[in-house]
Amino acid sequence: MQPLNLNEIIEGCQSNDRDCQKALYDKYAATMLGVCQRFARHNQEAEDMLHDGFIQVFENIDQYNRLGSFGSWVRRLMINTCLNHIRRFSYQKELIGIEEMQMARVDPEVMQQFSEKELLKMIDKLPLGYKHVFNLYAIEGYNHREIAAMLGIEEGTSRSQLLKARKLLKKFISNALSTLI
Amino acid sequence: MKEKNLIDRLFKEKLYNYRAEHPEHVWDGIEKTLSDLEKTSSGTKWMLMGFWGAVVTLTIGGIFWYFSFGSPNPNLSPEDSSIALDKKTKQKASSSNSILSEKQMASDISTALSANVDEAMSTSSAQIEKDNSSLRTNSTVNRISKSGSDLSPMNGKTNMVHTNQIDQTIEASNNTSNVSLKKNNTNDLPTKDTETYYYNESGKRIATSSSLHQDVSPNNDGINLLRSDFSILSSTPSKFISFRLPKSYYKGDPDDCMEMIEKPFRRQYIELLSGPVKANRLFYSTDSTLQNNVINRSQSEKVKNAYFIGLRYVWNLNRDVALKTGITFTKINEKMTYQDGFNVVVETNKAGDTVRITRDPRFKIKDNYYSFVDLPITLSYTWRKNKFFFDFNSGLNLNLYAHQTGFFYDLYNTDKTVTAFDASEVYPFKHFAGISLLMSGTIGYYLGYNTSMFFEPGVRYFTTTLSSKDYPIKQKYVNYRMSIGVRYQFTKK
Repeated sequence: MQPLNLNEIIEGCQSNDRDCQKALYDKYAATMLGVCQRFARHNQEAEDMLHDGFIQVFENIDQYNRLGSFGSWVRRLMINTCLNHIRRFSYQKELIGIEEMQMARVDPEVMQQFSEKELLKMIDKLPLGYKHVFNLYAIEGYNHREIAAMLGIEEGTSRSQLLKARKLLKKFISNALSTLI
Repeated sequence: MKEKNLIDRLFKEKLYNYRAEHPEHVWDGIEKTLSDLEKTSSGTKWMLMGFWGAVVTLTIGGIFWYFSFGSPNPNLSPEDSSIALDKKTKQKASSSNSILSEKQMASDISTALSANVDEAMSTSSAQIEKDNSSLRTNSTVNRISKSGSDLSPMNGKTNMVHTNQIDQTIEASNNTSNVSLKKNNTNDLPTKDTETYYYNESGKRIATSSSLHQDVSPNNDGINLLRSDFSILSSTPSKFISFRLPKSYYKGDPDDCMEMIEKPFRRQYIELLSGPVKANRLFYSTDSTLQNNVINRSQSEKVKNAYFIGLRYVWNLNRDVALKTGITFTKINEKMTYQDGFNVVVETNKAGDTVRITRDPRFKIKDNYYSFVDLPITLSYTWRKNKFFFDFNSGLNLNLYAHQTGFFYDLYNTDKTVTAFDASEVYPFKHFAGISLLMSGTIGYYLGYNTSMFFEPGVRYFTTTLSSKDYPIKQKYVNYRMSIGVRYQFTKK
């Protein structure tokens, strides 16, 4: 059987064709799980987010207007699902690191040596607020106004949390490098 | 390159397209959820289709029924009434000479004449002569005579101008008083006219039957004389589509005075009703990127109270079907809970060093008010049992004016005062909330001849969004209400 192209898969999903839904899932699940892992506290939660996100995709696929990239549309929906998940199971208490961070400058070439999993672990170690702001700003490319709207915080808070997230990540990178050396 | 950009770039390059290994069981869960959702949505769809199908069928059926079968007796079609009458009158004549039989017969004969005129019209130029000997009681003469001829230019249609005169006299004797009543010297006695009109398909009146009821009993407590005149008014008779009952008729039992009953339809009522409303608001957006805002908006909302008050006019189209309209005012007072930053708690040790900082969301509560002025238009069907009545009402609610004051979440999740909304932005709400669908049931109790009280649970579904066209977050209401009211009949007795 000839593999379906993306348009055929989308049309099939709009008709609730289970094979097409599976094909869409296979195409995007790995990348989207990577997105979810950056927002989740643990792997189980990331899988829950992936599940909910794909349900949202299949439920709302009629609304995809084909003007932008389908991958970006799925990604945006997945991020919204992650944020809803966070809000639904709202993390009432959040630990915020306050210690002063003294770090050496980090060499860009050395930084490239880190694997994706190592970087993911560093993001995981961030306090939740920092983690979400950093994910949305640095990796997903949202601006502070959008992040403030998405997370229900002030723009200033978003800026401040991003700054602190960067400082903490630099510290984690420095620590990892010193261990390596 | 700045160090902050380096960090951002490093993470973006490595993680933006990072593909994690996804376990197969996630798809199994998705597949199961999709199957469940399909079952649920299918069931809901059928339920909704069934519900609105029933509403539409009842409404259309009610209208069709009213305009097609405005029969004098709701249980008899015009064609059936003469047959039913024959049976009735025979029974009456053979059972007794009681005044009730005579009086009932008088009423029945009036109906019989109506039915027979129909028959005469439909049989064109036929000559009909009936001698209903079964109607003879004591000295009663009961003769129905009709004649007609086709005067149309084509001699093919019944379009005659003709007048039938039918005179009947019923002289009744009252067993208990054994007094013979005469139809003469009635000039000084109370009289009651009844009229029956006949209409053709275009609604033009083509025939009139008038009857003179005269009370010649010693105590003026009964009707025992009836004279009916029929006249065909139109030159173009065609199939009758409607009968009308006389304006009044009489009934009673032999031991009591006769009671005059007004025609049981075309009554008019005025109703005052009020009650609490449970207002459910549905938020949605066609823009999937605003899902968070939609969730924020719906989660922030706590309806505090809602009520409505209305004045309604009820016009009985016939005995069982009524048109209800009027004006209602609905007010919904909401409490909106917004997250307003965080409460930060700093914990220190004995030495005064900060060990950790925790934060909890901080909330603030705002009020939000919605007002609606509406014009309801419903058709109702009535069932009656002793002193109780039950109306099933369905129809439309036309919004005349909608207004909101208070606060709401804007697209950036900040609370906005509606009255101070920035003129440069899209105003989020309409002043006309469109048409809503209404359905309710009225359970009423007659307190007296003119007055009754009732309970009326109902539901109102807004068919259109309350948000303005360009505002991306849409909202609809579904209102459930329980009214209590009083009804006053203001038609003359």
